[in-house]
Amino acid sequence: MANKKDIQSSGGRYKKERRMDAVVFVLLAIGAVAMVFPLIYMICASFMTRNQILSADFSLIPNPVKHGKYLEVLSKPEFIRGVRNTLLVEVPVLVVGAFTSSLAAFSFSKLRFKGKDAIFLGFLATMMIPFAVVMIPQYVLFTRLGLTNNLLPLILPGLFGNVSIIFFLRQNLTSVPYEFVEAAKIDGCGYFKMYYSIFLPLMKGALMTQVILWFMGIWNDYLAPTIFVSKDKWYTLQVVIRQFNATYAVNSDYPLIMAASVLSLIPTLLLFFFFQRYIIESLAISGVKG
Amino acid sequence: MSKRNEKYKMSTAARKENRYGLAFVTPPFIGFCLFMAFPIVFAFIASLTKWNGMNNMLDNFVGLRNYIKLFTDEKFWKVLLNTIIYMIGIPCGMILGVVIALGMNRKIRGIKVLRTMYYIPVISSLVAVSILWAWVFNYDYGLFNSIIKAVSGVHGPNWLGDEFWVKVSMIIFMTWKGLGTAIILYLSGLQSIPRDYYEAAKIDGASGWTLFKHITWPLVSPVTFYLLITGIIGGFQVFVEIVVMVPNGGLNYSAATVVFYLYEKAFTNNQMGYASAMAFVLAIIIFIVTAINFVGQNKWVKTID
Amino acid sequence: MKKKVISAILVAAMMTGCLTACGADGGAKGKQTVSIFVFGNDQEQAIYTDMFKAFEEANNCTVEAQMCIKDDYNTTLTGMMTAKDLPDVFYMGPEAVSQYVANGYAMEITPVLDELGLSTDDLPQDILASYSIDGKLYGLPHDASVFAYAYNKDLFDAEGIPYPDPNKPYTYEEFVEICQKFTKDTDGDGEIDQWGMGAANPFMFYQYVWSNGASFLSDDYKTVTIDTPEFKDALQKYVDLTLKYGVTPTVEQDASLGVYQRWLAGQEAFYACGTWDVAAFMDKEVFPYEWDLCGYPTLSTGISTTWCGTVGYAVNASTKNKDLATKLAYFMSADPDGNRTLSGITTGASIQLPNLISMANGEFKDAIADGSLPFPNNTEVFFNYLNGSDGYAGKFMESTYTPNGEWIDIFFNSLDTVKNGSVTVDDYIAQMQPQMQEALDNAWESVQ
Repeated sequence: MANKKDIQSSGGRYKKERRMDAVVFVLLAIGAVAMVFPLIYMICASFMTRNQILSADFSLIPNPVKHGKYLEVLSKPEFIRGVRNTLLVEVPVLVVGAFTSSLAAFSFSKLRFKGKDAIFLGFLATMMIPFAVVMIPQYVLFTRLGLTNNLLPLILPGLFGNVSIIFFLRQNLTSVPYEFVEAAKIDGCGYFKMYYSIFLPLMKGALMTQVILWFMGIWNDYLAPTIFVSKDKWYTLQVVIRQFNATYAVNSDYPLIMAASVLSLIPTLLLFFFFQRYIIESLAISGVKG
Repeated sequence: MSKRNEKYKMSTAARKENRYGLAFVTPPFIGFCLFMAFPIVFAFIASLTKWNGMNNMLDNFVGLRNYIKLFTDEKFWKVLLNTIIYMIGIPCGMILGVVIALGMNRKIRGIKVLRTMYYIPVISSLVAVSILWAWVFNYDYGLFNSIIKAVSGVHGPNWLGDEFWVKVSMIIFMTWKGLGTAIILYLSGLQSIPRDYYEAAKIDGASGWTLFKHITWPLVSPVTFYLLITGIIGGFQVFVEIVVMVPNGGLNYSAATVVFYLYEKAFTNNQMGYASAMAFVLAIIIFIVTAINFVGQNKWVKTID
Repeated sequence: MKKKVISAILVAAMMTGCLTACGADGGAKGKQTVSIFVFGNDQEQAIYTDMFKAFEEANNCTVEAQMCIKDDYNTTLTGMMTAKDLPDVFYMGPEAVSQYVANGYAMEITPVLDELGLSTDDLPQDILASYSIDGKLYGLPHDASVFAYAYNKDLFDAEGIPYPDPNKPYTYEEFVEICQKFTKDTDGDGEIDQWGMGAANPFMFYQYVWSNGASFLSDDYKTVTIDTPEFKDALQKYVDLTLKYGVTPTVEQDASLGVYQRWLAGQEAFYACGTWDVAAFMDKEVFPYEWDLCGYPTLSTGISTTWCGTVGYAVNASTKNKDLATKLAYFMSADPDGNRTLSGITTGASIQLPNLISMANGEFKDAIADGSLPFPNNTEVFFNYLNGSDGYAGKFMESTYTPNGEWIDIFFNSLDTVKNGSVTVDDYIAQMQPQMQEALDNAWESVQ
């Protein structure tokens, strides 16, 4: 009897919980739709005619549906060039930068050397320095070296590694016991071999996530390219998009601007959808434990 | 003999490790020197000169005059105030973030899809979404005013053209852009709170708000701290969204931020020396605010032990 | 694994190397190379590219050209100066001549021109004067542009109002009266959707100031003189168009769709037309209305005044090839075929007036007369402004003479607060004058 009552009451609670869950879900869903609504609107607008966008009555459904703007954007040489230039920055930076960052992280985490703490603290402090402080001198440095007529100002700094990735990977390696190093030493394993045959595989997952985030960062960067790249043929995608906005707003060609913006978002969105579990996990680690 | 030998051996090994350890951090160290340390020194020297990019920097030494001028520069104070006002978005994001994270911290099917939706703005390109939001805020044809008009029949505010509303616009935009981060971090913070904390408190008769106030909020305080620090450091550097949405800095400079003003001084008006001084003051402000936060954190940031 | 890492590094290094190589040198070997940096929109850039090709063929050399949009030009050029990496030929406005010469960037070109036997006699002399210091010439004009006024003929027809007389610009009062006739709600939804005019502050306020005998700066360009009664009166009359008479879109309406876009949409009877706008306005795809040129309304002086502009070609003082660089600058400025292309005699799309006086008076006018060059009928409005004849006058903006334009930006940045009625003219002037003066002082100080 008592047993049955228990079940009943817990069933009631369960039902109440379920109802609560449904309410919460609906509220959260409304919020989520509101969050992405501007983006949905952007996609819709890219299929509209100029007149529909500029009509007094608000509408979401394109009428008539025009997809010519996407072809127009893709046929603009600047756009394709922008994508190419961005990728030309991404590839060397990510490949070399991932290597230098992970190597340094391994060293900071597992090796003993003089001045380790001081150097690491110095690196950490740079995370606080606003880009505005270094942008003018960097600009002078790159212009004096004659590098602003190509992509090197965007590539070079990345090749030397990325402080936040070093920091993250170092944290990641703290869970690996020091015995690994000692065992390797006893086996007569060199330090570089220790890095690539033991520790690099250990931080592979974390490194990959960080590289994806770095990819997005470079893809979305605007300030550095706009300052450091002076030749139009080396403009990166974000600079091109911004120029589209300035150029085509004069003729109110908003569908074209929206289409270009949508296209520029696709790669990062795809990457995020595929790797979101890892991205969210690594973000959570840096926020909660960092 | 053997003891000395062993000591000698160890120190060779240690020296080898020392050498390799240093070698492995050399690339980032070089990067640090070239792209951080050198620029900082350079910027400091430049901030003491009347350098305009064309003249010789060292011939135009003016001492601390740029700094003194900065303190009497009304426009600088104005843009600094604007920048700080935009930071209202930080607590807004936190409150919304923790509320939504509480909702998500339930085992409901499909919640992950929603989480993804909230996070999309974070990974979207700032330039693209700024272009989009400039349109959302458009006075006659924008999303907001269309909705306001459809719902209430009244014409909405001139979002980007009004000194007050432009700030509201920016705060809304920044909250929108950053909310996903706050949600994800709070969610993982909530998930790391052991259930028995709540069970124990419930036995004591606590519920709802009390549980939140005495258990949840203190225990997610490291997340709050992290969001505060990164929000402030990032908030002082807002630039791109302004340049895209209000290219002229807003009516009466009401939308301009410190970095916007600095960029204009350096690259439009060629006052590189003055701009460097402004950059330095900005760095010092960020340093002080961050330092205060770190000192103050002991008072309110709790950790789960 | 090791191999993978090494090959990855190699790939990266190769890509980087390739980038430098591509970036550093695109020119063919053996030929002389001359570099040039100009700005322009898509259409202009296409024309310049053709001109560079013609120059390459005529001189058996390679032109290494860089082009960008106008907004980015100065920033990039300053960067090149900082880097000591200036192209052989680049743009220089009259405002920059003294600075560029003092800092050793611009070369005196008269001796080289004389040596090459190239004459500047057929170029407008007062424009050349703006590129000269103490009688020495440092630049050749790329253009001499005029920011004239235009009206939408179709709207005049629809309202049954006679067209403006280019020989007799309206007085302010007449202008207001005409504008009021155009300002109405055409579709009956209760909101005004057609206006007398559209006013883009930074470009269309000078006309009122100057025509009222006022100025932003004193004659030595060191003092801000916006607190004179004439200036205040001009400002009052200008904002009254929006505030009192309501013949322009309001500040809010302007924020949602710019006055330029509204003119293109046929919602405004009057709007400005620069010499560079002609091709676009004649293009029915851009502007599907009939239109013509006219003068800006006149204030107390009775003289219709607008601003003219010019940008010129400077030759890099440290160029390795003075002759070729000067030749290119001269070619871009005074080559007859180039002039025909840009002024539209050969292409039918005019983006500037011919620099050559003989061509402007001859071929150019003939082409307009025989209809081969689509151009508004009242062509002489442009020339009257440029030459200061028949009750017209043209001036350079005052920021042309100051080291930077921050002081004027301050004025225009908040002008909308007066236009929407939240600040009075007197208060605005009192508030702005010291700020502008300070910025101007700083600007002068920065170059002394």
